[in-house]
Amino acid sequence: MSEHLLEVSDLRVTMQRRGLPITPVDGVSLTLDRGEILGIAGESGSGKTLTLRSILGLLPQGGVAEGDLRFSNDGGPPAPFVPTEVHGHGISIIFQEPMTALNPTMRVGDLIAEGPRIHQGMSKADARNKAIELMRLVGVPTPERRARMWPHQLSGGLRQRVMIATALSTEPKLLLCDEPTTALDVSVQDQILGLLQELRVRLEMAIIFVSHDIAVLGELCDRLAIMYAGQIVEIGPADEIISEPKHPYTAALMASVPSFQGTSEDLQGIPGHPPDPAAFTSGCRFAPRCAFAQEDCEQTSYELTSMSDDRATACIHPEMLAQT
Amino acid sequence: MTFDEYFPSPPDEGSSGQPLDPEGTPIDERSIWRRIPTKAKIGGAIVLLYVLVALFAPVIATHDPIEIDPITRLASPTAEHILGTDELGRDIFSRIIYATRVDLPLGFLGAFLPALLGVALGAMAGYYGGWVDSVIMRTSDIVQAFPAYILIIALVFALGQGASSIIFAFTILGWVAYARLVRSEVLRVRGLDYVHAARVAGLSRFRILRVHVFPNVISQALVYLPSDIVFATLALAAFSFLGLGIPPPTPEWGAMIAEGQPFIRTNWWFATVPGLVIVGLGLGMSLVGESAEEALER
Repeated sequence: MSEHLLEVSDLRVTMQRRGLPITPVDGVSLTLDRGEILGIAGESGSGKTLTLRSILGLLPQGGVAEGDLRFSNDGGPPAPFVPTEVHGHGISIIFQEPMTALNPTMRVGDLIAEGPRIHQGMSKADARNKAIELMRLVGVPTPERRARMWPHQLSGGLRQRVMIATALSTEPKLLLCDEPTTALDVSVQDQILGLLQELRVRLEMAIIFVSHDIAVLGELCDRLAIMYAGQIVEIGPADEIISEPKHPYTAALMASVPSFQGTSEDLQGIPGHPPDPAAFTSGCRFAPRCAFAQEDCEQTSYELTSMSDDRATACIHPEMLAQT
Repeated sequence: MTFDEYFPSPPDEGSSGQPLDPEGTPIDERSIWRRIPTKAKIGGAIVLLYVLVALFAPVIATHDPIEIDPITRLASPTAEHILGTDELGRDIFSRIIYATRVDLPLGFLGAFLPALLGVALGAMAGYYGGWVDSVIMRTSDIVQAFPAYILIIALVFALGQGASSIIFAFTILGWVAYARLVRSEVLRVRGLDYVHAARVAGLSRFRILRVHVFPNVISQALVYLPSDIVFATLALAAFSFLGLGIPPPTPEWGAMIAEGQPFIRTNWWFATVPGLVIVGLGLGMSLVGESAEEALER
């Protein structure tokens, strides 16, 4: 088995809500290979963003992450790390809202140049050239001119490109994407996805891409992890998961995505609501909403079970889904 | 992929829609002047007038402000003495003009120094948190627990009368409001993604505070500053009125009001004009401060 770039085992995020501890991320384990794009899909509140942010120690105040995180920065076997060790060295992140992700009091060129100046000791002029080069790399037209602009003078798509350039300035081996296309309109979204795919190949960079949009993820990712109520319920190659889901939640997610083919009757929502983190159970948390739920579903404890080399599902009755 | 295929000619404008020159700044410089509200222009003009009077006091004044003339005491306005003379025969007009050189700088200092201290402490408290935050904020609680004027009077008594004591007392007291304001702003900005991005870029905490947090929290404090200058000027005048401010014979508006008070029935202009001069400065500063506040809200 090839050596992984990133290994996350049994990640748990605990937070305080009105004095009571809740666990919005509850035992997430995943691995990532070099140059791979992994997608994490799930509804709001499924813990996908917290999972991503805890890799870099960016939890909201009061949040505590436990679990084993390993990262291979030098090509050797993955070694345990604390988030501050990979800040500026190996892992970068881009965010959802391009408006709040760029410092409004800095010209975008200076913002991109900041990392190289601090970490690589570049001169002001060299760092500026590097910033312009990065802006060109991420497809900002006339970068020399736009490097002198302020964030508010750029469109949403350009801001997102600038954010990507900033993230790339420290030459990461892994780029974390926290719904970077959600706030953009569809045509710009498509451009950014194309850009990320291109950068992955050019810079041999791995990506973890978090989104609630399973269609976007299917298009972009090599592998896909589906999260529900703080846990991964299914993981495997993206095309296989989309064509042949092994967990009823994945199937229900797929059925709720509008498509150009079918009629509006084909579009099905999932009845009910995701459980509150304060009411998480040890059994299958999707069972109360599941169309295929059996009597033992809520009793049997949750466990992600391998179905083949690269696929795993937490559903204890995948045969029920297969019958339909 | 090429961006230009999607947008053959990239939109060449800022978010507000006005055209930009190659530097990326608005071309129409006059539009900035036009965007400044009339209120701010009037306020700015008033403040500028005071600054000019302070700068050119020797040119404007008709007499030496501390020259005593026992013959012409408490004179009514004449061509020689535009606003008459005081109890010691000093020219009131010249004293008011020269007092600008005392009150204006002290008013500015009495607002700037507390602001400086408060912004620095508030930013540290908000950004570093933990025991730094506790020490700074508990200290501010203690300061706030005292009645402001009583504390200033006590400090001035302890340190001795004079401008430096007053400024010191203002600083000890005035930083609290700025610290609280900036601290809460820092707590807000600290959770924004661009600060997260700066942390992930591996920048030092001090650099993040200086470059990414500080410039984004300072505007609130700046808006507060003009009204604080008004407060400092008024407080200075009040203390001089009480005999705790600037010692005689230095001309000072508050002290002049106190000196003129016994003669309010006969020489009403003696106390009234310095009072109106203070009101004028307060008006100018308030207009500037209010416009700044409105500009920030937009």
